[in-house]
This record gives sequence, C-alpha cells and structure tokens, in this order.
Amino acid sequence: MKSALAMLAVSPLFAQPGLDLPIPDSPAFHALRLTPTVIQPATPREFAVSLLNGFEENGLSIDIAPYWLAAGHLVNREMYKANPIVRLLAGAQVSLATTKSSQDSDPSRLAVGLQVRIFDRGDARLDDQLADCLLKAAERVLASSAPCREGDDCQNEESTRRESLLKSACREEARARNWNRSAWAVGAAKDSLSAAAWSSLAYGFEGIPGLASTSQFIVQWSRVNRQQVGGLRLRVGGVDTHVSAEWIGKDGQSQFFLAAERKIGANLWLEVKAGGVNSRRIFVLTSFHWGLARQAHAGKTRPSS
Amino acid sequence: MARQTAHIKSDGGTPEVEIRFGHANVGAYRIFLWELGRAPKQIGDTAQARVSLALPAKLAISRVSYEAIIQSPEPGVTLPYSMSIQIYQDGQTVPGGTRWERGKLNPNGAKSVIGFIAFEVS
Repeated sequence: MKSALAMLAVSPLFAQPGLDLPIPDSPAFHALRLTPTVIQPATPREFAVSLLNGFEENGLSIDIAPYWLAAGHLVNREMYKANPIVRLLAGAQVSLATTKSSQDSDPSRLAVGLQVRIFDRGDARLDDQLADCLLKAAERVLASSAPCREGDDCQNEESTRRESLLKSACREEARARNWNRSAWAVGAAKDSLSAAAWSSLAYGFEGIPGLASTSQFIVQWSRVNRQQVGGLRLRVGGVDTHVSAEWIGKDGQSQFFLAAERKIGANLWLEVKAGGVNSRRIFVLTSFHWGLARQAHAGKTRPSS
Repeated sequence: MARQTAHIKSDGGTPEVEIRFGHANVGAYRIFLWELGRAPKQIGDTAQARVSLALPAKLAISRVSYEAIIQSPEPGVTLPYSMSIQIYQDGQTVPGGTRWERGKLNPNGAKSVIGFIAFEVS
C-alpha cells in the first residue's frame, strides 16, 4: 500500500507544480488520504458525543484544540492578547482519524496529527481594530432594540432578530488587513505506515513601507519518512489577487515558478502558473483550485491562504 | 431563556454584576433594572467592568436583565462561545450568583443572549 503520508506534503508540491500549502487543515485526514466531514466539537459535551458516535460508525474523524475545548471559556480577549503561552496552547490542534476497510485484507488504519501555531501576527483575536468594529456593530444592534420582557420569547425570536441585524464588513476588512502577516506553524502526523513533519514560516514585512500591506515571504519545509522538500515563495498583491515567485527543492533538484492567483469565488481561486526545472523545460499551467474555508476554532490559522 | 436566582443579604452592600466573555470573543452587553410597575431602566453597559445594581431592598421586588451579543473575531462556523454572569455583594460572589452560558455561535459567528436575574433577600 502506498504510504498515506506521502499525501501530506510531497504529492501536492509536485503533482501540481508549485508551492501548495504543505500544512493541511486536518493533518490526520490528509495522512489517510480522506476528505471526510470533520467533526470539530465546540464544547466538552459535544466532544464526548462525537467520540461515541464515531466509534459506533465506520470510523472516527475528529479535530480538536484540546486547550480551547477544555479551558477556552476561561480565556477572555484581554488574557488572550497578553499571554503568548495561552495563544500557543489555544493554537495547538490534534487530529485523529480512523478508517475501517470494506475488504478484510486491508486493515483498519489510524492516523494522528498535531499542529501548533507558534505565532501568528494575523490572528484575528489580536486585532484591536476588528474588535472595536465588532463591538460597535453589536452596540448598534442593542441600542436599536427595546429591552426584551421576561414573558416574551427573548431567546429565540428576539435573539434571532438581533443576530440577523449583525451583518457587518468588520471581518472582511480585517482579512484584507491581515492576509500577509508574519506567522509560523509546525505540525507532524503519523499513521501505521509512515510519519511526516512540516513547518511553514511567513514573514509579512511589518513596518516596512510599501511592503507591509502588499507582500509576504514564505519558507516551507516538509519531511515524509526520509524525503525532504523545501520551498520559498514571495507573494505580492492583495488579499484576493497576488502574484508570486516560487522555488521548490527536492532530492537535489530545483523547480522555479511564476504564478498569478485571483480569488473568483468564496473558496475558488484561478491560478496561472509558468515554470520549469531549467530553461529548456518550461511549462504554463492554468488551473482552478479550491481553498479551504478558515476553520472553526483557534489553531486553524495558517501563514498562507 | 436564562434565569437565575441570586441570594443576597439585606444588610450587605449594593450588589454588582460582572459579565465576561470567554474564547477570546468580543462581547457587548447592557443591563436593565425592572422595578415592579415601572418601565425598565438601563443601569449599565459594556463600558463598565462591573455594574452596580440597586440596594438589596429594591432588588427584592425587582428583576435585572442582561442582553448580550457575542461575536468571534474569527470567521467560520461552529465557533464556540462562553459567557459568565457573576453577582457580587461586598466583593464576594453570592450564592446562586454565578451562571455560565456556553455553546456554538451561529453561522455568522454571532450569538445573542438574554437572561433575567431574580433576587432572594435574607
């Protein structure tokens, strides 16, 4: 059986030429080459229910941020901003995946993954401008609503009405502000056949006029069993449109690329890419690809998107 | 709808309420005092870390309501939220004075929470 972990980083890099996010959202599932519906419990009770349901079915597929799940209710925004250890713990994500094969000769497989966000200057929870924007939007909704009477259906009808009034551009504006911030995430995964590790470090040129809002330099590295892949990428542009220059090294061989990427839908990107191993082997590639939506809990942010 | 009953002392100081939001979310709130036979009166909001309520004798025949909106800075679905409501008297949490609200934000990353507090005075 082909090593499942080869899927983690190496295959995406060379199957679709170019540097392509070696840090998966759900490491264990990439290890198993699965794309299941991932359960992301928000509360300990949900976690327990997810575990029970998972074992009763054909496999378990779960992503959790253990610290956030157990102690996130005790962490207010001020504490989160002030304490880097809290942010590190909040950004640690564990993935667990099992599959049961339909064929008896193919044994069940288990993969475990760990991903840690060492730091992330684009973390939305650190963005005071975003917090202020959200706060004002909420205060506007509260101010425009009469106080709910005890006998009324406050929690359902009135709360739903208030939530529906909360549409604001705060998060989109923050995404445009923070798309290229410096960040560093590392991860590892293991299944019954092999192991993998990866790291992605992004530099956002913070404080450098002309580059701070337009550019990002990414260094990525991955190792699957004994095979290592390294890559460098310089991205220039904005949150939804950028051009990039890339280098990938694997087994002593280099590949270079120039690419332009534009977001054309909620999670859909159009990419035009030209590159090659040397001047005699150049190719041009046009492709659409899906980007994963930013996920549910802390620890899911990634240096590049 | 959330409802809690806090036990306060008649000879104690003016009770206070403190609302905190977990999971590093952004929360806004306002506090109302509902006196019998009168229109509700807003007595506090997000700008105050702790909101003074009213003298125990008045709280014995009144209700307090809190109305909060919680939002996550992160986009995404199934984001957790948590909120604590704590009643203090003379600097101490009173019996029945702590309540937690926990769950998932709606797909827009927001949650409105409305609750009432009754008081038993001894």
